[in-house]
Amino acid sequence: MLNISALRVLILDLRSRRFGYVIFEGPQTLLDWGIRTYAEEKRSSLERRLNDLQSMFAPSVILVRKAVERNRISQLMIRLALRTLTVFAKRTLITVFLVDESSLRAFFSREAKLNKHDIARMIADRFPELSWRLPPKRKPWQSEPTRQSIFDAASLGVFYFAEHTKIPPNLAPTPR
Amino acid sequence: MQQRPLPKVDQKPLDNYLRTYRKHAGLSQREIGHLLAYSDEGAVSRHEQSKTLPPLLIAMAYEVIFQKSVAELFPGMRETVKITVEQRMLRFEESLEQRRRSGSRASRVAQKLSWLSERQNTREE
Repeated sequence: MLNISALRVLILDLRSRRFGYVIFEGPQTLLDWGIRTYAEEKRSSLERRLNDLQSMFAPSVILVRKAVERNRISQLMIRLALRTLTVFAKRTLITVFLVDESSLRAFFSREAKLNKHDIARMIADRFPELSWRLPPKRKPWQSEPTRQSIFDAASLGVFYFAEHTKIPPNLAPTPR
Repeated sequence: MQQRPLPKVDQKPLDNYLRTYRKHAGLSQREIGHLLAYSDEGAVSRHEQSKTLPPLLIAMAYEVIFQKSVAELFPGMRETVKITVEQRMLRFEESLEQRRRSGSRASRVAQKLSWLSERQNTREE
């Protein structure tokens, strides 16, 4: 029988020139996290970065958060990156799941309407090792900080494990 | 919520968890390298990626830094060593049984066999 606490999952928040990643081992343990950039015009660049993560952590599942890009060129870049990822996953026999933004939002907003920063704050509460990377709340005229990607990826991990375990998401916002 | 299936394979532990413990501590590879008296972060990176194995003294230094036993820091490596040694022990026991049957150095062989069976019992407990 599968031991879910030993299940390693690589979660990617894929953007056009970079990706935020988090690696879970079971629902409670974060093995690694960070941001990697890649040259969007070179397929090998993304593949090399994925290879590095695969050889170090040997995940059995890759979850990809489908980012919504408004720019058409960025949309195209993401589509190409997804194709590279699919080829990589086939070669390494890893299952890939694509999760769209709406199902994630639905999961986290069951009790109260939450924005990305609220979710990131809850992730930081649950995984204190990430708290020092928590970005400050963004003003409407500011662009999204790069490190937000790590929290977006981590929230997808929480979502995935909540689907398979009885562990409550425990994501009620804490007053600050 | 549409459920995504779980993979059917069970996973082995990683060769080492150095990177995980380092990141949990918020330390950089350079800082760990400095604590281990390396001139740069290269060796730490190679250890984390299991490209090279740390020497015994460095493994002990990792144990001191992260306050985790070597077995906890290198569980996959430990598992590999354990399997290999256990297989060799089995072959050794078989060869001892053969020697006992042939009757050469009987008492010495009997002592080794009794140690092996004692060891087996302790392991099962």
